[in-house]
Order: sequence, then C-alpha cells, then structure tokens
Amino acid sequence: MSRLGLTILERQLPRGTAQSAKIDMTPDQRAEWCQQVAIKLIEDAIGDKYELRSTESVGPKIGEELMHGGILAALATMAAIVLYVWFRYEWQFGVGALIAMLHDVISTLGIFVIFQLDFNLTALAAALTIAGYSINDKVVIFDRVRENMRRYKKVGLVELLNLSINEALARTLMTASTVFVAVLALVLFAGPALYSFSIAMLWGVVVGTYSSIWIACAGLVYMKLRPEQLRHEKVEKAEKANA
Amino acid sequence: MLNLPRWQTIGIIVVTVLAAIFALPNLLPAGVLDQLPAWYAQSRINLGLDLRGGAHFLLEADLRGLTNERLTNLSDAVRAELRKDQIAFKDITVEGDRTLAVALRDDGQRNKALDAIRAVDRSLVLSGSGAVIQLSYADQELTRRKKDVIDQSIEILRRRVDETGTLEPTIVRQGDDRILLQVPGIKDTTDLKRKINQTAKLTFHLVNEEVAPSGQSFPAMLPPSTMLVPTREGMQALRAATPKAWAEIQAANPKLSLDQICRRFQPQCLPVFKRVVVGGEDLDDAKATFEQQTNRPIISFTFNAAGGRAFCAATRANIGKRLAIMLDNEVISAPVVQSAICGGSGIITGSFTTQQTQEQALMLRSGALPATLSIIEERTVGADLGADAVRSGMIAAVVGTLLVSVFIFAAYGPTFGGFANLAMLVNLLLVLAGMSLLGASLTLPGIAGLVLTVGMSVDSNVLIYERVREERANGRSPFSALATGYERALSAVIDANLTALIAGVLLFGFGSGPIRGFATSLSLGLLTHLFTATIFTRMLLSVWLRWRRPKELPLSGGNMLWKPLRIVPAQARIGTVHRNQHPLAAGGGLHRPEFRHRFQGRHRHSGARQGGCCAPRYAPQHPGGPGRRRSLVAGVRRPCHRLDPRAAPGRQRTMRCQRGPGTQAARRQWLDREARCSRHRRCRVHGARCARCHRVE
Repeated sequence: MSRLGLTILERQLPRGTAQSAKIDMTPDQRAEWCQQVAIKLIEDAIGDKYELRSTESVGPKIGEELMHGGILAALATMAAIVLYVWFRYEWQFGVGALIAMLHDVISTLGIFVIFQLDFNLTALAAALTIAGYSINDKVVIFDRVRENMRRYKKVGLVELLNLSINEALARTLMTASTVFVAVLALVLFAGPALYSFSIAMLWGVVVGTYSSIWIACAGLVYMKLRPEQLRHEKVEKAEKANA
Repeated sequence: MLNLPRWQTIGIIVVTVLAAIFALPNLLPAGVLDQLPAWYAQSRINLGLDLRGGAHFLLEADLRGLTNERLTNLSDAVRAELRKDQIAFKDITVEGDRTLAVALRDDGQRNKALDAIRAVDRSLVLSGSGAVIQLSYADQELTRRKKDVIDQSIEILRRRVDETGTLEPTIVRQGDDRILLQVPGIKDTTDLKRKINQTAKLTFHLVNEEVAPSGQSFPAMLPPSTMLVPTREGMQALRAATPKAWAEIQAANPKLSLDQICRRFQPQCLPVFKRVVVGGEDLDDAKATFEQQTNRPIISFTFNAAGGRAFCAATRANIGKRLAIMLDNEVISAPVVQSAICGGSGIITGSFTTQQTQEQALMLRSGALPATLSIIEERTVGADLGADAVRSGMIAAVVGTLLVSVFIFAAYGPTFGGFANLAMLVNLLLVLAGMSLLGASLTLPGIAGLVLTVGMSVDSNVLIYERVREERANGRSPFSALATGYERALSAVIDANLTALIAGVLLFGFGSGPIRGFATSLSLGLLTHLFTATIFTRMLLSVWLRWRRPKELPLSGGNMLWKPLRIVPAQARIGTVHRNQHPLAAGGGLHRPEFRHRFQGRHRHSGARQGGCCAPRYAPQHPGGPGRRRSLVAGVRRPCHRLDPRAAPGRQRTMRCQRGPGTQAARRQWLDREARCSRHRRCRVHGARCARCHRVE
C-alpha cells in the first residue's frame, strides 16, 4: 500500500466486533481510478488473511452530487413543510416551525460533530426524517393554540401559549416516548450499519420534543400573533360585515 | 360521529384481510412456503443488495472522449475529401469538445469547400465566415448518439455480466451518461470489474514498416496515416518497472493519446496504419482454445461474411507484411502474414493464461463497448454480512414493536392499548403488503423506516386517547368524549402525518440507493397510517362502543386493577413561554428554580396556572438574579395546594381550595384573587374553601 502512499486511518466500527476495521483514504487519493486501485491493493494485501465483508467507494463526482442532492433535499423538505404549515395555519406558525426545525436539524448535526460519527447518506436521511418528525409535535401544539385562540379571545398570547402547550404536554411526551422506544431498539439491536442513523434519530426525537415545548411557540410571541389574524376569524368578520 | 356506514366497515375488513394475505409470504418460514402455490409464495418483498449481499456499481460512460474520437475521424474524412476536390487548406483543428475548424487558403473556394464537406456528412451544422469554416454536430444528433451509446453499452454489459443468464443483474440507465449495475449475490468483484472496465475493441491494422524498421526510435513527425500504438508486453513491462508512470497514465485527464504515451514513457511501440483492415464488429464468434502443437491458450475467432471477405483481401494483398491485432489500444501481437487467410476464421496468440483467453473470448463475443466506462461508485456487501444485517434488523424490528406495544398497554390499558396495538399491527401488515405489491426492495434503512413507522403509527392513537381523556375530564359522557375527542384530534393527526409524508416523499425524490428504501417504507408507512388512524381506529372504537355501551372509559384507570402509566401527571403545569423571550432562545424552564417541582404533580409556585392570567410572576422576572429569585419563590407560600379545576355543569365552575398552610383568611384571600384572575370572572367566594364562578366567554 505504501507504494501508492495510501494513508490508512484504521479504526473500530462503532459497536463492531474486534475483528472489523475500516480504512479511509485521504482527500487527494479519492479520484475514481485511485479508489479502484486502492481496493485492489487492499484485497491483495490482506485478502488471504481477512475477509473483506464489504467495500464501498464513492467517487468525488458522485460524492459532490450526493452532497448537493442532500442539501437540496434538506432545503426543499424544510421549505415544503413550512409552506404546508403556513397554508394550514398562519405564516407566524410557519416561521415558528422553521425556527424549531432548524434548531432540531442543526443540533442533530452537532451530535455528529461531538461524537465524531460518520455523516453518511443515511445520517442525512435521519436529519430529514427528524425535520419531518419533529414537526408532528409542533403541529399538535399549533392545532391546540389555534383552537384555544378561538375559544379564549381575551386571554393574553403568552398565557394562551402556556395553556396550549400544557394541555398538549401529555400528548407531546407520549408520542415522543413511543418513537423513542422504537428508535432505542434500533440503536441497541440494528447493528453498526444503522448506528449513526439511529443515534441521530434518537437525539432528534429528544431534541424535537424539547423544541416543541420550549421553542416552537416562543417565536409566536415575538411575531405578535393575535386572534384577529387567524384566517378563520378573518372570514367570520368579513361575513359579519357583509351581513 | 364515530359510526361508520356498514359498507365502509366491510371495506375496512376486506382491505385488512387482503393486506394480511399479501403480507403473509414475507412472514412464513421457507418450509411452509414450499407447499404454497408458486405465484403466491413468490410475491415477497425483494431484499435490497445490502441485505442480500452483492455488488452495486455506478458507471459513467466517457462520452467526451467519444465525441473527440468522432471529431478526429471527421477531420480525417474532411481532409481526404478536400484533397480529392483539390481545395487548398491551411489547417484543420478541433476546437473545444464539439467543433472542428477548417482554415482555407483561399476564401474564394469557400462554396466548393462547403459542398465537399456536405458530401462527407449531411447532418453537420456549418458556420463561420471568410476562409474559416466551422463544423459541428447538431444538438439532437449528439443527444441521439449519446442515448444510442448508453443503450448499446447496457446491452453489451448484460451479455458480458450475465452470459449464463443466472445472475439476474439489474442494469439500468441513470441520467444522461450513467449506468447502474447491480449484481446480487456475487462475492468476488474482480472479474466483474475487469468485464466492465474493458471496452474490448478489436481491430486489425497493417504495420507501417517504413517508419521505424529498427523498431525503436521514431521520427518526430509521423505520416498522417500512421499512429504509434504500445504493445501489451510493453505496457506490462512499464507497469512492472515504473508503477508511477503507469499511475500517471491512468490518472491523466484528459486521457493521454497513444502517441503521447509512446513518446513520453517509451514502452515498446509499433507504428501502424490508422486504417482499420477489419474490426471487431465483423466478428461472428470467439472461443478460447489451445494451440495444437504447443498447447498454449489462444483465442480463435470467426468472421461474418463481410469480415471474412475483407480479411481475405487484406491478407492476400499483404503477404509477408505484419498485421497488428489491436485490442483496447494495445497491440496484442503482430504476426507476419504467411498466406491469404480466406476461411473466415483465425486465431489470436499472445501471452495469455487460460482464464484470460476465456474472458477475452467472452468480451469479443459480446462486442465492444462503444465508450469507456469508469466506476464512479461502488458498494459490495458480502452475503453473510447481508444475512447478519437481516438478522439484526429483524431483531431490532421485533424488539421495537414489542417495546412500543408494552408501552402503549401500560399507558392506555388492555382495551384502548389493545386497539392502538391492533391498529399498529394492521399498519405494519399494510406496509408489508404494499411493498410486496409495488415490488419495492427492502433495504437495511428500509427496516429502520419500518421500525420508525411502528413508533409513529401509535402516535395518532395517543393523540386521540389523550384528547378523549381531556374531554372526559371536562365532564362529557363517555360516548360523547370518545366522539368529540376523536373528531378534535383528527385534524392534528392528519396534519402531523402529512408533514412527515412531505419529508418522506422528498427524501425519495432526492435520495438514491438505500435511502430510497428508507423513504419508501417510511412514506408507505405514513400513508397506510393515515388509513389506520382515520378509519380503522374509528371502526374499532365505534364497534366497541356499540357492543359494550360503557359507563366509564377504561382510560383513566382509577376503579380498575390497572393504573395508567402517565409520563405527565394530570395536574402538571410547566412554564414554557414568557413575555420577553427572544424567539430564538429556548423559553421557560430548565434554568428556573422551581423546575424540580414541575413533574411532581403539585407545585408550590407557578408562573402559569390554568392559563392563569395574573398569577404571581415576580420571581422569574426579578432582576436580582437566580439566587434572589429562589429566595423570593421560597417566600411565597400558597395557602392552597390546589384549585380543583373540575368544571361544574353549565357555565358555572367551582373552585375548591384544598388544605394548605396559612390562615383561613389567607386562603380566602387567595381564592378570591384566583377567582378574580382566572377566566371565570364573576365569582362568589363561599367560605374559605370554595368559590363558585361563572364562565365568561
């Protein structure tokens, strides 16, 4: 291997058996042909002593495309979700959802940095799923906020948000717990290939719940959402005026 | 509200049973499957490559090199045509990667030149002015050609990879210039890679003996009809002697021409005429055999009629000269033509091993790839690793499902928990059935998607049940609480699912390979979940209500053996948002001193109670810092532990002040203030324990 100046970073796979190791290449050796040569060399060098259970090489071109695709997918997902929330509720809710979602996704990325997990495509999928999942909780609370806003028109926004979050609290925590339990099974049993995905999901569930309670609604105060601004109310008012 | 028309109930049952039937082959052991009819047993979910083991390659065709080659050929043809018509030209050059520029000596001859060029190829787009003529291929011509090249490559790859027809490879076009090749169950990819990497372009050329009869030093300027080609032995020697040079040749971008390789690295080279005597496309068959005298492995081949004639004529005219056999830009051998070969067959000798001749013969049989393919992405998974992945994935799925169902049983009891778990199982069956029907393949991330689906599919039941609990606590009858709870929770359930579905669908659109598997199972799970949450659960609840006509819902426990697991105590209230909070800052709680009491059900002080509009708020906002706040909070002693929030019928509501520290007067004062401050404005305080209020809405 030294003939090609291959640098080998050897390290244990997370939760892998002691016999498995991983070989990474440095950036200047990632050209497609070089990867093929490296795989061949590694096979020749250790093939008779070890069994190569899986090889994976992604050329720089594809890597870049996947990266672009991933970023695009992340942006598109968030945009679509925000638009949906806007469409179903009000723009203030959309912004609140966006802030909370960014919080969740960014802190999930942070987990990868802190624990030095592989950020692969699956992990990206986890980040996107978290974006989609964490919004579930928020939608439940938003739904409640909207309902309460119609019911208690005189109550101040802060109290109203507190009330709504508290009323939905049991729901938020129960739904989070069921997903948490399911993902926990993934972390514990699904093996090394899904490890970083499951860890990301697990963390995403925790953080998503946290942000549902403490972050998603906070933005609404700042944006001074008023009951009159609810679409439903507007329509009612217009009808009254017409009558 | 809950009642469903009879036909809908029947429809739901039919769908569920069908789902069970379609999902069943995936769950049955192999022994049972063998006894079932084949069409049914085979409608199983395909396992993806990562679970089955196998190789996945993404190949890219070098279309640029192809266009370049084509332009070079065009320039030769144009040059010949112009000479024939006696049109003087200075130069013919390749400009960029799709244009050829012809510079004429006399622009008076332009029209004549244009005619000559049109005679070469009618489809060319001609432009330029004066003495310069620019030739390029039309766009649609290029696209059509690209498409042809990829289609042809796919066909040839199929023949090469799966000559015996047993491997079931997937070979599909991806995008403009890419081919996805998946071979399940293959263990050693070395052979496969050789088959992909080699174009196997076979041509016969005459050796130009006049250029360098001695064979070593070539003149700087070769005649335009001649080119230098390295021999296979020469390249092998170069690779063995100086691997660096070999690496450089491989890495060069754009690829080095044969001439450049010969001149820079000086392997053994031969000057041959560019004109192709016969090409590999005229081959009919190729076989690996052995030479009779020496028993060396050789390749024997047969030409088709046209090829045989051309070969016959060429050998007859060139007896005594050397004929170079060129395969993939290397001269394999250059035997001297002893006599005219007119039988339509011949042999290729060289330093081959048996395995090489077999492989080479296969390549020649399958035809030359029209473009070089390079592997830009590779994934190989050993079959046993795949089996491991299946095992651990299944364990995770089963454990996940069990944990979730135990959790749900604990939280909502045998009846309602049972409904939720039944809905979850039906959902799982629906997903499996859907994947079987769609022919989607299950990957390891796909299993993760299934487990997530399990976790999320009980969510809607949780939403509904919690809402029902709440409605029941507000004093509705069991029937009405169920109906209202279901109805009110539904919009949140649908919204939540649709948002998650958006993420799933986009993931499917942008993702590739295993991610797609994840997106498929997750999106399918969410879709089927919409069915189970909105209709299936509703059916269960309505049937149960009609059957049991319960006086009390077995949701809140109390009088039963089972006590519900509640993560959040019914009375818990936590501060979450406060007034001066920046939208980007997390609100409320963790740093606030009273947090430790929050989940204890009763609390001594709270910034927000029952949406408490003017409950004391001085502690959290006191500028004196946390220490000061703590002492302030500790100083506030509520005379009542709890104001019973239970609503009395109608618009009246009783607030009850339970035992607590403080005098009766203090209790009364507190009650009075709470009564005034809450939503129930018009209150009369009766004694020290009770206030009766009218709801003001």
